[in-house]
Amino acid sequence: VSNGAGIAAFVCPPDDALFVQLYRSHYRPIRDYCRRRVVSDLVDDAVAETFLAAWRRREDIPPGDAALVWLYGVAYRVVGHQWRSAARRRRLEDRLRSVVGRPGPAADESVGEPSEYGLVLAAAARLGDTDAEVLRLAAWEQLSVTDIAAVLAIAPNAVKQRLHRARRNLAREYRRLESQQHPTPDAPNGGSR
Amino acid sequence: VITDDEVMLLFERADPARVDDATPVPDAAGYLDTLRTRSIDVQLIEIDQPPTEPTTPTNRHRWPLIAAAAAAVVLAVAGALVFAARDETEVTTEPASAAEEVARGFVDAYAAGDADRALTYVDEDALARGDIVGPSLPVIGTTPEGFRRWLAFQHAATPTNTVDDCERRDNGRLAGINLTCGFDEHAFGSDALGLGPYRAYWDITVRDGKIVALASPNSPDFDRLVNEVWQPFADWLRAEHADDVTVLFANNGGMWLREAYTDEALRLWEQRVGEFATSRDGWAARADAICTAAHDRLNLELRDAGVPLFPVTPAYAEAAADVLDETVVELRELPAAEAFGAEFDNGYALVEQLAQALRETGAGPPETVDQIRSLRLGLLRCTFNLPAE
Repeated sequence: VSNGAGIAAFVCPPDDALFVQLYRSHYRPIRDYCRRRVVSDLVDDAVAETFLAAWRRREDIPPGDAALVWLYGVAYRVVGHQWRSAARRRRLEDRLRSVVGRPGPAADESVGEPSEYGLVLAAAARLGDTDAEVLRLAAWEQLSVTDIAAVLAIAPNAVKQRLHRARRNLAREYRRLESQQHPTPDAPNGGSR
Repeated sequence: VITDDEVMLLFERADPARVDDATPVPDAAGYLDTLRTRSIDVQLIEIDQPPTEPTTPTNRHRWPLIAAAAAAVVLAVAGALVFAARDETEVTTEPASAAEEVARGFVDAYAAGDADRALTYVDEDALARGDIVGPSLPVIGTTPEGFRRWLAFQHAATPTNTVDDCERRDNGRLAGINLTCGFDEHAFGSDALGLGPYRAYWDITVRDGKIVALASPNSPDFDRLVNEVWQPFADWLRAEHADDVTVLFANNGGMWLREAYTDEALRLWEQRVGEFATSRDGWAARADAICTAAHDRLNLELRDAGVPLFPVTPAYAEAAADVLDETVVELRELPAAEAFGAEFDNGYALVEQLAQALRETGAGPPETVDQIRSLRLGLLRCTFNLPAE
């Protein structure tokens, strides 16, 4: 049949209603996910791409609460896709924030960050990308290990290991940055205050 | 010393989305329409694969790795430039006529329902990536066997009649020669019902003699196809063969059903499509499509002539009578099956009477209008919203 979505969307009229319901329920969390990872002028694009990809794969969307985790997985790949595009186009690369591995301001650059937040975000930006994403999903999306594993398509055990390592490294990087910002004469090794 | 837990707490509080988002949720229904439109031609994002991780240095001890990576990047860039130059050369020197032959060969094989022949034109890697027929294809479609079953379904439900020549276009998303091949297709028995065909286009990219991208057919007539045959077919299926839904459609655990490609499903699709085309409901769908087109035609003529749609003036009555006369001829072009042929003949005769009354008296007899509507033969729109009893 000559359409982009298959004929299944027409066999049961409630299908459209289901997607609308999904969209209404999860628009805000998905938008927040994108706000946390891309600069503000790319957020709308990322959200639109996420729901577009979801629409095209709507027969794969799991029912119930699992739908949001599934959508996070799509958004993760959309943001990753934006990163790949950005890598090809330097102009966009420059606009991407810490998700591409550079210290950066918060998602919305118009919002001033308290210095302590800037420091911890800078510390997070020094982590490996998957480790940082595990940390973000746990801290900001408040996902369980199982859900994080589903989003990233990796094993739950791997998530546990990455989370443990990420927390440790985040604290280490934070302390390092802090010590560089406020060097203390009585801490010659740069370790503790 | 700030502890690991305290840093984590700080990180939680640093959530960039902690400030409320004032952006309102866009209208969902409008968004759905946009999605339908965009789903045909937007670049596919591989949502099954995690994104490639950026090569971010995670600490200061990685200079040797960075140096090695930098060298690798230089080599990769140089290699890519060489490859791109070679690729560009190949793309520009590959004869367009050869690419057209490939595209044409594929579309001909598709039209003939010959999956094995169609596959000889398709790049295997592109099929595995899901670039053939695009994201609308279920997972099974990324294998040759899946492609065979998908094509078998297409052939059962929507046999293609005419394929035009393929024309080159310049707006393809991939390197290669991009072509558009137009074709006319029938769907869900439209040919047997004297409806259609429906215009559709393949967007095909050919590189090195193989099809590397093939968008799902894009049809400007899709809405007409849905209204004229798909929706009546689906309604008939639900009413007459509700149990078939579990065979004809699959649910892979998601929220939506999708057409099934099992042997049993393919056989049943073909059977039910054939039955619908010879059913009373199928013929009512045919009459409805013809009457809808007639009503649209009348409205257009009245608008062009500056005649108001209400009340019924002599000018209106004359135009309506003319359109109904043409419509009755169209309705009678194909004789309905014996089982319900007399019923439809009776309905057509009533439409004829309505046309005659409009011509002779300047008005439609309400009792005739009422009679036509009560028959439930798809002739309702042939009464043009004229007053009933």
